[in-house]
Amino acid sequence: MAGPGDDPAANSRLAARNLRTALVLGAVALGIYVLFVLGYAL
Amino acid sequence: MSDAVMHGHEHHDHHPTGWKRWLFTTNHKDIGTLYLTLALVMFFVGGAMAMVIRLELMHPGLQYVDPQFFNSMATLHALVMIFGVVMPGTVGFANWLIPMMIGAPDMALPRLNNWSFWILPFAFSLLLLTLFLPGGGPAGGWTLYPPLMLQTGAAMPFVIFAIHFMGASSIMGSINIIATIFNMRAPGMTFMRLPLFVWTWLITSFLLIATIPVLAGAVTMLLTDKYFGTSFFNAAGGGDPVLFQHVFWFFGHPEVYILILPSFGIVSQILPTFSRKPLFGYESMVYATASIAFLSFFVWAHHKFTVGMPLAGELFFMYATMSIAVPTGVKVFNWIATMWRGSLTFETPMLFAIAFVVLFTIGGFSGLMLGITPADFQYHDTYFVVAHFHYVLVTGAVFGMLGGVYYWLPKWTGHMYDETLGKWHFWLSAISVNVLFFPQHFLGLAGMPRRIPDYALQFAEWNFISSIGGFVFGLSQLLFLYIIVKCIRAGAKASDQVWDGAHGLEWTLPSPPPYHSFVSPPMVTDATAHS
Repeated sequence: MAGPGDDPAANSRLAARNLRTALVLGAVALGIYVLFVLGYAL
Repeated sequence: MSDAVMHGHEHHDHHPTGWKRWLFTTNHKDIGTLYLTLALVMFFVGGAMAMVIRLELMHPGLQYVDPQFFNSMATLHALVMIFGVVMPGTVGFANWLIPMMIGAPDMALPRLNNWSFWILPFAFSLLLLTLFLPGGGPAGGWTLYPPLMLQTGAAMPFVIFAIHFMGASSIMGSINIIATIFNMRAPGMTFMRLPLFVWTWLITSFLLIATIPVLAGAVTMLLTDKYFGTSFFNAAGGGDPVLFQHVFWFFGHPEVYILILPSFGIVSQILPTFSRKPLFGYESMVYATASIAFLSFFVWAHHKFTVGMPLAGELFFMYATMSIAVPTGVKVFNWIATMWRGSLTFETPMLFAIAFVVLFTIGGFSGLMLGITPADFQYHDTYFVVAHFHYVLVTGAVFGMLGGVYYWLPKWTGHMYDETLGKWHFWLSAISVNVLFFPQHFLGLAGMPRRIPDYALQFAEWNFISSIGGFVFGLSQLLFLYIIVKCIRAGAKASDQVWDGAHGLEWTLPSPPPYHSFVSPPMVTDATAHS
């Protein structure tokens, strides 16, 4: 469990982790949309 | 603190002022305020549409608007209230409160947060401006069923584009909330120490990510059917209009819980404070919320029993729907047990929370009635359904949010609201909303259909009473607006704790809180956690 603090390296790691979380969740949402439409279209 | 970090903080605190502050803000409190302001504005826009509907229905016959415009009002009222009021409103609460409740300085992805908000005004401009297009606004109901929806004029692509915008905003907001809760919790803030409001939003966010793409897919297919020659839902081309109903409600039923779960969370924060007791059954509340969300994916076809389906399907969806009453019953039991033998006081947030418990439960019971397949054949598409979902959404979701505004407004603004006026607002709202919606049960049971501008004479009395309730409820909300403005401009100074029974990290911050909530993370223990 990361917390914000005064350590720039820790903050960078936290930012990278936030970005990874966002990319995974975004890919899930986009995947549902694409698979859904393509699934019916094909 | 190192110089580099000090410089970083100083630089970060140089936020723009004036209109640029709001346009470029990445601060969770500013964005929370923007969401809540949008929700309030749209509340009055959608409310004005409701007034048109109730005015036309006050007496039998066509009086004020033509049927096409009436249908547009019914359609847009629903879209505005769902996507423009309850969803942005609860996201506003999430933005303001989640970082403060978990001991974080801000949301995990502040720029994404800004973008999530600012696409919404464009979405609602697109949606509302359809009223001025040739053929008028969308009039096929918020469910957008084909083939009726395919008859919409120039408004249709605008509506679909607006829905895509709203969906993108919701997905980005959900990603941000999940990333914040997963990655930004203060040391010691374990999952089982999260305030229940945070839990409800975490679960709601997963629901949004799973279901909004399904809605987006469905409306994309609707668009291609209308403009690109596909036949997903066109029977003449080998498609099936019933497919749309399945797909829509696969989104639509979880959406109901997307709307109500954050209010469950708000009420679960308010009741312990004014009962001066910890929330009864915290862990069971978490599991009940997760169970409701999980089950919501298996009940969609109860919205379309009358369309026809195999008996096994009817039985499955009926029993699955019934099963949601179990975790919901756990929650209602826990709220009542929280109040049991508590040192209760009845400030305005508590009044709204208690009304929520009572009136939402009425909406839940009528939902159970609708979930019984043979009974639904009588109730379907009648005013009984309208009464049911307004008890769930107005006295449920909206009352939860109103209680939440009164509860946290002193923390947000640093000023107390006028308690006497708050109580007036509550009593006027609570009485009028029942005058408005309770008679609609009788109208539905007597056979009055939904979405009609005119009706048979035997429905005249209850419609008149319902409209009177509607006008009083609408006017009461102007008092709410006045109370907020008065609180911001001239309210007495609020203390940091605000409510003597309140627990949680947000109450350890000054009122109003500093621009960055927790610059250094607090250490969370059982004593400083939710209760």
